[in-house]
Amino acid sequence: MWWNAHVDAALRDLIVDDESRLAFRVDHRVYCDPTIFEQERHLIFERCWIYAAHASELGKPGDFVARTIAGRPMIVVRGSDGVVRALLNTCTHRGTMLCKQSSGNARVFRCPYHAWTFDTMGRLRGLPGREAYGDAFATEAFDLAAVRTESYRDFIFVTLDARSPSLSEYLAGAKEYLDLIVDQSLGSGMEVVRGTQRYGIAANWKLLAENSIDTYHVMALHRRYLDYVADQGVRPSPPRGRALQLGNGHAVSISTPPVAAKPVAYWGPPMPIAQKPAIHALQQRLRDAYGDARARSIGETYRQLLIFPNLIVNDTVATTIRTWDPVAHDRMDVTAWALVPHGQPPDERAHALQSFLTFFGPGGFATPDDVEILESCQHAFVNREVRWADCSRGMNKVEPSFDDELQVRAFWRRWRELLTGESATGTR
Amino acid sequence: MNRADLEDFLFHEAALLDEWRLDEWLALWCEDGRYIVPALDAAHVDPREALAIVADDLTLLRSRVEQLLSGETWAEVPRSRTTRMIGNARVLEHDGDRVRAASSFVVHRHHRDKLDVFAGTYRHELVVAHGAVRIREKRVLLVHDLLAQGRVSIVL
Repeated sequence: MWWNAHVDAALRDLIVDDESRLAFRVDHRVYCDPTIFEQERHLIFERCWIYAAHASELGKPGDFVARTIAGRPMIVVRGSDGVVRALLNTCTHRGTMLCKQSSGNARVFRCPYHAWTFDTMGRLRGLPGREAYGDAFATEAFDLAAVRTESYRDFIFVTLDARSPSLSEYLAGAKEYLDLIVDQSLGSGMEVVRGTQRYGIAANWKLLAENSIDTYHVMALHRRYLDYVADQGVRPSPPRGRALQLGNGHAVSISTPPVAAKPVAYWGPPMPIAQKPAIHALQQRLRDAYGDARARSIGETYRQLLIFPNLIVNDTVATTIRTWDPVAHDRMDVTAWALVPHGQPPDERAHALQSFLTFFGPGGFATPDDVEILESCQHAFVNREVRWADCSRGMNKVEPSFDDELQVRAFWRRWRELLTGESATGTR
Repeated sequence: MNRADLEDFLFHEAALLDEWRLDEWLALWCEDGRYIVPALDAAHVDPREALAIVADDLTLLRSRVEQLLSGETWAEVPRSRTTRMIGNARVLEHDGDRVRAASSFVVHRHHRDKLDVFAGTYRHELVVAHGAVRIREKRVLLVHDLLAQGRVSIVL
């Protein structure tokens, strides 16, 4: 731990992690208690590196996105000096939200209230009636507050903790999985496609972290998607694979063969048959560039990558960035984007987007049912007689399967470390 | 097609959807039909180029309806009760057998003690042939920039 937190015994007991008894349980109180939510704000969202934006959204100087990150309104902007900064979206004069537009290109940010004006590096450059403040007035004391910002392979993260380790150290074992995702672009880099899915879920934010890396539920809850795939004449072999804890609460679930399409590069519904030759050509290009094993890992393997606490990069039926902002103990706002190789041919992009939509998002064949489930969990937790959520699946194995719950345990072990200051040692 | 004809058609479509007569609703579609709910920040961009919420061709739309009617769509078990108000109907263009139309809608959905509201504009592209009206494209332009809930599990 890089800060001093006292061990909170009451919080410690909310999770039972006992490898000798193959027991892993989470007290439902973690989803329901507003005081725990307040502690999470400080101990998790103000300490961890939180995903903010993708560099492709900020191509040229002045490009910005304004969004809520770690519960805070921020402007992430590429300054006129080319440097990407995250600035708190609060005017240093009287506290107005400076920028209401969700994205765009700006030369300056001008406060609508009294016209204080900041450049794209956050410096106060103008205020009407400057002479009324006297000679001692130091404009630099009123520059916009910049939040620590670092990026890894174009994924831009911010942290509100000046003392936290570097992003690279924080990402730990997750980096090589981000590498696998980015390397599908064969060196051209990835880009976020225009069009954002934004929706609320009336449930605790941690339920979505669990749900997004839980592959156990797919066969049961997402039967209709698998039936749709089967109706297209495709009978996939049962996937096999494993899950890994990647350090700092990050985790990945890895499985192959894919049960449906992977845009780069495995043919399956909803791609038309006519797309097969293009997919085979893509596979060959990956093999030429990376060799057979890595090409299969990049192109013919599904992965759900959780970067603690609130980023999921799915590399399955599509490559997706999904993050969610915790609004209250029983409410989150989700944002999802499609990530594709830069310069991808139009037909391939169209199929990638279609594959995304057919499974993910509020209108997909899977996500609405997940949302319904998470909201129903939040509703049913009120029965305090049923105290525990069980996450012990696969604890009896040295290498838990992709559809066991090691990835869920990885999340909770880190969660407890951050809330109690007590190190977790569980490996299974 | 005049405005009254358009309204008759839109009201009929709304009734089929509200009454879960989804097989009859499917029969209104052309084989090359597209049902599109664009993402809220890319309302006028082709779903081949921008992420949408729904962009079904008829194969996907048939599957969607089958999943709804079979009870496999957990978000729609039990079936939501909906009521659609459609107004401000306008025939924008009538060229041969093709009609482009715009209308405003409010869909109220009640499910599991919760009431959700969807509001926006429909853009229909219709084909009128031999006295029958068929849908070639239905584009649902929502006004929400953040959906209050994540279940566009009914057909809008």
